Amino acid sequence: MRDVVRSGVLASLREHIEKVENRPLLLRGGERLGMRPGGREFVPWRDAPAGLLHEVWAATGCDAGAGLGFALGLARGLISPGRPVVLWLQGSHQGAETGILYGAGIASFGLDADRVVIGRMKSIGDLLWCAEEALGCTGVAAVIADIAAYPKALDFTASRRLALRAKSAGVSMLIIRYGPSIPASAAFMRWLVAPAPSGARVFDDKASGAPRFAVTLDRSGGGLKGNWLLEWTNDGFGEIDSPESGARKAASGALVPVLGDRLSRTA
Amino acid sequence: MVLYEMEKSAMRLMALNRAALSAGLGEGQTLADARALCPPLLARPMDRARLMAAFEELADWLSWASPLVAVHRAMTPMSDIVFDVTGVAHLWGGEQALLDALTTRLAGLGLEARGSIAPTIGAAWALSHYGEDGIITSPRKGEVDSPVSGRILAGRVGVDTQTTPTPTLPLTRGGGVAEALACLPVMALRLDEATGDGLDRMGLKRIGQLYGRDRRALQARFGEGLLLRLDQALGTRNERIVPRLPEPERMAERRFGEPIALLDDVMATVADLSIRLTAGLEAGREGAQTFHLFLYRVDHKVMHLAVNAASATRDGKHVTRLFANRLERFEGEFDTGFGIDMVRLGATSVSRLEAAQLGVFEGANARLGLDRLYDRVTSRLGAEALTRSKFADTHIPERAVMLEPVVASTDAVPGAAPDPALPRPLRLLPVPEEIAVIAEVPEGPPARMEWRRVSHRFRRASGPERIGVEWWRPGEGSLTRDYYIAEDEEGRRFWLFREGLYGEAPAKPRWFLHGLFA
Repeated sequence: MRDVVRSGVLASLREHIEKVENRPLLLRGGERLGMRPGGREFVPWRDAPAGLLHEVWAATGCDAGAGLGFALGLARGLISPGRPVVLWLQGSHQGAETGILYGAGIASFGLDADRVVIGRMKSIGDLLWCAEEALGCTGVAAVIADIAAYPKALDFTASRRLALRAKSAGVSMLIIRYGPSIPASAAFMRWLVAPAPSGARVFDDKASGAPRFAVTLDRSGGGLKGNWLLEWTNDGFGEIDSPESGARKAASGALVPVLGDRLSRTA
Repeated sequence: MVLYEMEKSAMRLMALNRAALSAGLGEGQTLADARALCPPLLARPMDRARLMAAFEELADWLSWASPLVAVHRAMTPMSDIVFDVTGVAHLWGGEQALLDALTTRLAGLGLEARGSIAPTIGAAWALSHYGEDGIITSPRKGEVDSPVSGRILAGRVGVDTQTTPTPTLPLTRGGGVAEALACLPVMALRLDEATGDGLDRMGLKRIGQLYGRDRRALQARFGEGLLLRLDQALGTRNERIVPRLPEPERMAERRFGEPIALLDDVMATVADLSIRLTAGLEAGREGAQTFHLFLYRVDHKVMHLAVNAASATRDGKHVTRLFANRLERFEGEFDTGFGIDMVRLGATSVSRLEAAQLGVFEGANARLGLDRLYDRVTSRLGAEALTRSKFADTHIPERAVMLEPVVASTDAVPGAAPDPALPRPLRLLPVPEEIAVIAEVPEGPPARMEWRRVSHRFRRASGPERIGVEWWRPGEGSLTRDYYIAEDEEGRRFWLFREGLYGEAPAKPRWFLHGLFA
């Protein structure tokens, strides 16, 4: 009898802590973190729900392409008919450094260029304001902010503000950042992204194949961590066993239909 | 006081105030003569551009009386202001009251003003310049007075009544326009000196003497100008006013007994006015896309702000928010002078907007939500802040995609979407950066490059994709580009091109980096 009471108290305490730590967002259908309904493994780059603040770190400006590719890949899964637009924000002075999002490139990456709105802001203050406004908008699927250097305005308080806003609106915010040192932030998931050598293209050994990303989940609100080697195809991310084989992991579930599932579910 | 200007190496008087006129000076006199005639003369060089700007500002400010105001430049560059007061007079309690309000207000500024109201611009001009009625001379105020005397010409011009001259009587006289003008001198028809002299020599001194004359003879003698002016004055030929400020189709305004100066007060007024304005739009089942805010300052200046909505709207709160965003940006330079005594909110681009049924899930309308977002952001950060890609029919990468503001309502046919089979980078550098490249074979893909002082050795490369020059464009370089996708040992992928071919004009082709792939 006493054990039953004790376990009940413990459970409610745990629930309370989870609430404080934002974890309920990762719970679906009563399943604990790490599990999906039907016993499928919870994979953060595939199953992360909307309404989280992500940070995507690339080591240098050279890796800007990989960082953006990964963020767009995450954001694409959040697009639905009710939320058709992804907003990409950049400081206007930053274009010369890391390049401007290129519409034709979005199309060849497998996204609809019409669905990506490009925002170029004069200052970091404007950018954060715009991001916050966009998070409150009913038509936005995700906001991607591309932020070079370490602006003072983007401190812990600012990121906490964005995280709360994202959570209350149910819209994900992805911040792409560059640099070796990582300041404290309120991001729910922090990804370290680097490009990985691609496999060969069929019929052409010398050409590079589909883009690959070496992804590390460095920190997450759910306490989840991990490394993955991902390959992007027009259907979404797929996990690769080893750089040499190039074969997709069978164990990670049916990954090609994942995106199709989501779109059809929301349609 | 006089203003003088250099004319044919002599300084001549160009503008005089009443005191100078009564001292016996006249326009066109040389400054030296004038000084001799009147030693205590105060003379200043004339700064036409500045005077013109000031006069236009005054004209803008006068739009508190009627929103359609124009500077009339047919005769003098700056002394005539035309109003379209159709349907305005009753707000002032009659035309005489409107005229009085205008002239007394101007008199308060120390400006001499006369005006008259007539069905046509020509007639009103004639009456205000040559008529005896409605002359208002203002007593001088203080020492300082302006040599630019304002002549108010209030033309009651029916812009849409082109064919039939309005049969209403001009205010100042009984009878029709023709009768009112009949005994005025011919110069009242806005004629040039030569024509006036010619008519004078023919004994045609009054406008009335021109009625019923053989038009062909008049045209043969004096050209088209005379008949044009006569017809315009009588209203058989249409003359239009081109208003200086945007002409609001719907508007709401508020006047203050005591001028306001605080930004918060202005915002509160805007909130109130936008509710009134949008209520009016709703009653007419209309929506508007552009909203104009006019702040009339006590020191006769107008501040004009406009915000655009992505789609027609009549949501008062939304409009208020757009103006709040816009006004916030002003904060430092928000200069109300001595205060604002009138605020007017106008709407243009009014179109029909049927009531939409809002369901329980009001937030579910993605399109509306996005439009609101675009409006809010662009009203604060400018139209260029949010853009979307628009494809153009060209192969040159930097020109193939244009960034079009999301709020732009261009109906231009978009170019075809690019071929997804052609690989294009996710990020494009606005200006291709020159790199040092080592290629194994002259025409082959690069083996190594140095970009931003970092060396990259390439593992894989594919290409070339040759993009030719658009030779039909002027100022275009003449070198074709060969694009390669090169992947370095870490897996970064770059979009490089070689400008020119080996064996062409530059001995060694240059290489550039143009984009980054995922």
